[in-house]
Amino acid sequence: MRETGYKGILLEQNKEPLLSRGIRELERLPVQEAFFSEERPDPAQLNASRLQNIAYEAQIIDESDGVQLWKKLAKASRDGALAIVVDALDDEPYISSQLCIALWMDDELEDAITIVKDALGIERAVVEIYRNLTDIDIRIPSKIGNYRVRRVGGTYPAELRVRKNESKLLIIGACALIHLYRAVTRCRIQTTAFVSVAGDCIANPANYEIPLDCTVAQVLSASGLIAPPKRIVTGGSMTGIGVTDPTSVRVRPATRGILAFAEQFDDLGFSCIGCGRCVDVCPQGLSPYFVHKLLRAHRRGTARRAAEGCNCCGACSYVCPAKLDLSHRIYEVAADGRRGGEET
Amino acid sequence: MLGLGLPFAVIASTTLKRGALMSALCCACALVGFFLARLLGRHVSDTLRVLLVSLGAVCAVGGIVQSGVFSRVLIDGLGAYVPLAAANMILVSIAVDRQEQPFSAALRGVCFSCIGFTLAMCLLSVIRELLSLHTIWDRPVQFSAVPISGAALPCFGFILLGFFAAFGRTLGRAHLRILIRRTLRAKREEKEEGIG
Amino acid sequence: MILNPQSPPHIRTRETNATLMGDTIISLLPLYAMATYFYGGRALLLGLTGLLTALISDMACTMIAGRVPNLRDFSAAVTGLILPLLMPASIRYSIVIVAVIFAIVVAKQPFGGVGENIFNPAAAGMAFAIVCWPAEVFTYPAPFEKIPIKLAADTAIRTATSPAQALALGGLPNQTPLDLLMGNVPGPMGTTNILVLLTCLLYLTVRRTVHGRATLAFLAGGAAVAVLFPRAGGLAALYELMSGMLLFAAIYMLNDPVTSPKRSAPMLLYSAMTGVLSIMFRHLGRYEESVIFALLVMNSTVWLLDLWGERVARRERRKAHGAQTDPGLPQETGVHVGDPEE
Repeated sequence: MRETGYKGILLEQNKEPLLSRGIRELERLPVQEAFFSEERPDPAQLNASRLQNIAYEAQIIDESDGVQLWKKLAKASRDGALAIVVDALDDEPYISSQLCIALWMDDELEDAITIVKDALGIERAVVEIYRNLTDIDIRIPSKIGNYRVRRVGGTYPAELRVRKNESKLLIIGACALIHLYRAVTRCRIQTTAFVSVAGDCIANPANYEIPLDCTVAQVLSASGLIAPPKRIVTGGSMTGIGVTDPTSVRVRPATRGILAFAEQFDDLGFSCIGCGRCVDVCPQGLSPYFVHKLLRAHRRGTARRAAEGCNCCGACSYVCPAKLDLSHRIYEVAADGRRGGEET
Repeated sequence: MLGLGLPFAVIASTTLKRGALMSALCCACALVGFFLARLLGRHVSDTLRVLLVSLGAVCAVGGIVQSGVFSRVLIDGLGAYVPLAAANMILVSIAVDRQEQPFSAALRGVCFSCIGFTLAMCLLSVIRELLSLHTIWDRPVQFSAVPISGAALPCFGFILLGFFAAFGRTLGRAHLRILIRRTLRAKREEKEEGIG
Repeated sequence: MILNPQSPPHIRTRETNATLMGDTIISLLPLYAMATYFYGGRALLLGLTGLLTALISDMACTMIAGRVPNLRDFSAAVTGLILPLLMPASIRYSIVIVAVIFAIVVAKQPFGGVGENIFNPAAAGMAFAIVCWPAEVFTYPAPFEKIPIKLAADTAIRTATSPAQALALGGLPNQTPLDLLMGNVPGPMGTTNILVLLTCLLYLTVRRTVHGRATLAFLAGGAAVAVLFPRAGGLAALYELMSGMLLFAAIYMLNDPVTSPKRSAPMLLYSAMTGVLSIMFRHLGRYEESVIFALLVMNSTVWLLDLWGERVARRERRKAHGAQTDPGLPQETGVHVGDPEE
């Protein structure tokens, strides 16, 4: 029996009303423009090294993996790349910043792709968008300008699964491409990030263009809070980081979302009943139930071996009816194993 | 350590009379074996001591059976469990002779083990007899509940034993807690006296 | 404002343990309704007795063990509601009470409470009842016999031979398969109405509380043995599968999440073997209904099946992922608190 079939979970995407509102700016946090040079280069005469210089001067950081863009371009021009893949996947619920750009700033995106394509001499380019978006009000086009939109299907975690043969492709996030376009056409430094501000505590949920280094507290009060949030998350809803002090966390280029929820997960006091749902959904084919049992019996050595391959997608914790904190603990145990933890 | 003789005693003691008989046999084996072992002491080699102790214990069992303290019917009812328990008890008594301890301490240990064993066995058999036959020592007792014939099954005996062990541990822990509290209080009073 | 630290994922499914057990309880209610229809209000009272006994003994044991009792934990309630359905409607209340107490206090709590028991508590309680009172537990009243709520010792109840008993005696039961579907046969209170049972199975499969394929594997295993070694001619295999507690046990006790294997391959093997064993025990055993004992025997092997399942899965994982043991961190989309300025 194929136990390592890619199962995963089908999540309710909750991308509306953000997606229909386009990219907005917060009144209280206006965007400040900054430039690294006065002269405007001619886009038609860009070559690979000139493009890298522009990306370096504009301090553009790719939001999908936090890597500086000029490094990515350098690697692509050095090793050659089969195609450009524009990452607008957004397979986590509530987060739609990349998708919004692909839908509402498609002209700039198309021009940006053309610039990179011509400068690096890559022939193919494709825009990746998640397929399983069922509750949105906008139609996803099949082409952005001249470039085909590839719908990546499958259950969550689709993005983690799709990034397998990365070394042959140049993967750039959609937001980074917009910043690159601005850098090439107007020599603008990246001073903003595109962030999805959503959650049931937010008065005006939308995808905002927010200046870098604003605190999360400022963003939340600028977008309006209708209830005091019990949980604030930066990043994705499934893989993001919980914020304990919103006045000390700042918006960085790799911030994709700020979520504020009113509901706290109470400790319901349930114990594992062995329902096996975690085993059904693990995309890596692990058995979180087994690892949980081993950890409870303090058999860390065996647990490390059993947890090998965990990528912390969070699917097991999502489906657990006992609301156990599975994915984080299993990932820690697996990381322990990779570091060569001692046998206990 | 007397737990080695346990399985057969537990299976066999479904009524109080049988339980009493099994305990008597086991205690006799243990005590006779113990005395014989201490008497022989280091004067003989280990193998010879084992042989002689076994012989002594067998004689003890035979003596009890023949003496007529317990009825023939009862002993026949137990059947093969008599020699089985006796054989196990021989092993146990060899283990309990504790040559390195002074005689009084070892004797105290064996006596208390026997008393505890007898108490546990009798309690077990009383419960089983009450539940399955509604009698104690073959005299019917007023009990409005249903007779649970399954209480006479061996597995039920072991289940009850498990619960006894849990109860015993709870008592032990409660005792420990009392001791700790007493010690802490004494220490606190000492400190106060020292300061004051 | 300082908030509590949270670890990902930050959204969870709405389903909880309480909804899982609640689904099972909801699916048992139609069975109680059918039992009341056939045998009167006594069926409901028996169910209530079982439920209350289970809840009280579970709470008592939890508090003795020093744990905080969880009022939303309905697993004891499920046990307390399943046991009376396996008994005839004319059974004494005290037998139900003793069986439920055995199920909770001996088969569930000493192993560790919720989620830690090895044997299905309802099956263990029923096994104890069968061993202690074999005559009473297998004496079924005829259907539509309104049994009074308080049974005096000399009340005569018209009893009848259940299909399982008829098969054990070596002949075909004198009811038609349609009777068996409608539940118009003597038998345990909640297990005779096959049609309602199949509907409950459908409901539970759709809600993902039970594995439909496991129940099918169980029936397939049982059918294989029944077809290969028929006890009577004709449609004996069909009668075998529809008589007694077989289907009920296949739905409610086989799919008990705590005591069944987690991966699909071991689960299918477990179900098929339970089916095979239960029909074999019927042929060769002392009682005419032995699915309970077959289930308990297979429960003791689940740890082995799980271990085997994990080994196989690990081998497949190694083959699929090759030498890659570090899939890498997911894309960092969060903010590093206290990150030095880049």
